[in-house]
Amino acid sequence: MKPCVQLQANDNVANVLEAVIKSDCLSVSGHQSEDSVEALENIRCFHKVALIDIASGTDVVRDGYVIGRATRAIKRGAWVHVHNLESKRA
Amino acid sequence: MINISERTFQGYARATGSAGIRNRLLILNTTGLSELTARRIHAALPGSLFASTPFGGGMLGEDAQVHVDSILGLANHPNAGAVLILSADRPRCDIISNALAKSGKPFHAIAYDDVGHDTLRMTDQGIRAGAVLSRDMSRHRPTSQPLSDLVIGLECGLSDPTSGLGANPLMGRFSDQMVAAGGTVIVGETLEWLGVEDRLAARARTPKIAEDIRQAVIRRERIAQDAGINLTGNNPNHANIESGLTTIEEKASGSSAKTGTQQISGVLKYAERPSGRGLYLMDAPSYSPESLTGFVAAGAQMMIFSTGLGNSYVSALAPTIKVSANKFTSQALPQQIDFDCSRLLSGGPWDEATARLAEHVADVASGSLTFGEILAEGSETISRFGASL
Repeated sequence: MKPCVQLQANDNVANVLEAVIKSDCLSVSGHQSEDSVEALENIRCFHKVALIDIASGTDVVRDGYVIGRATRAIKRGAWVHVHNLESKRA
Repeated sequence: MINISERTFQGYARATGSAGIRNRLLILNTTGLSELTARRIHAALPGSLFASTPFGGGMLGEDAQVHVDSILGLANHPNAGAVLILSADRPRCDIISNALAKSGKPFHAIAYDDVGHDTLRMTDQGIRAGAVLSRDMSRHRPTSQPLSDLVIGLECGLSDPTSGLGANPLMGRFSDQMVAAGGTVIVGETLEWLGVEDRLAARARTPKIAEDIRQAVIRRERIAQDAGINLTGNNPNHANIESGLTTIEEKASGSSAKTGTQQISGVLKYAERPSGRGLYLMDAPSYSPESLTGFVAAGAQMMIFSTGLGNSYVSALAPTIKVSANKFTSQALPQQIDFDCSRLLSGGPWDEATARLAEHVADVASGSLTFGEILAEGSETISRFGASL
């Protein structure tokens, strides 16, 4: 089990605290402490993992803030980064 | 647990009000034409601080006014025990000299006009005058000062996800305690209020201040829109993104954790002094050299500066404590990171880390050096807000 941290209960992404390899099992600390997620792909240290399936065009929420929208469907356990998340602002 | 309201530090009482946490001669160059002469004088006076502007004539309106106000803020800075003012022209010198004569700070001013435009004569006179100022100033002894009298600027630079997970929330907790004890904290980087402006505005002391926060964000976002740029790749920049940050909203949510949870007492213009104590936002550019000088000119004696990937830049006048929650960065840059808080990410106790940071602040206020001071990584850069003629 590798650690990832979810900052607020309604966050749909968490930051991994170690480099993650595909199929690693991640323990979610913070607000879903009993939960665990299987990584669908490699995720670099401190990058984000989806905690639930996120539909294309819907909000990505971290620390209770909308940090942008999904530009494609993101599966639970997938790496969330600029390839599938964009700003809603300038 | 450190009690900030009862804690003191050894500082230098100043006629102008706030105590200095250092007692240094400031070589203050006020026109671009005289910069190299000023640097030569600074090099001959070890222990002096140096601040300069590359600009001078041709600035207009608000831009010119902000520049002069910023230079006055540097000249009056409490960490400078005396000031050697250098300038190409006498009128520029006189603006600063008149202000310092009023505030009672020891100074000497030399313009190229005074020395027949002979840079070697200015060098000679400057070194001699600076030596006398330094000797006289060295008689000043530090005395016990309340820690809550400090004005502290909070900054982040080359952030990564650990900044928002550890270092910035830690600074926010410290800020909360500082403000509760009657201290003053300034946070700038307006672009990094973008996406979090509603929650910042909700903490404003008055509806007017809430509106000032929203308007500052709208103006800053418009600058980006008018320039036709996509913020992603600019702020956050390529290194922020490589490290795991994505959008300006994400970066801002981590950045704004520095502000803690206390009420916001006002939105300052660039280099503007807070009118009272408490937590203030400064509407200013995000680039650290410009941002820190805005805080310094507003009177901040010290900075706490978080970094994710490493950032050597510090203020020349205000000792700058570099904080990182990235264990790789803290290990890789042991002569840059003054305060390693990476254990917060593996559940290290927040109260203990906050007390340790407050203790570190008190130590630095009393004279313990930051790596930035030891290695002389500091500079000052005054923002520009318009074109020159």
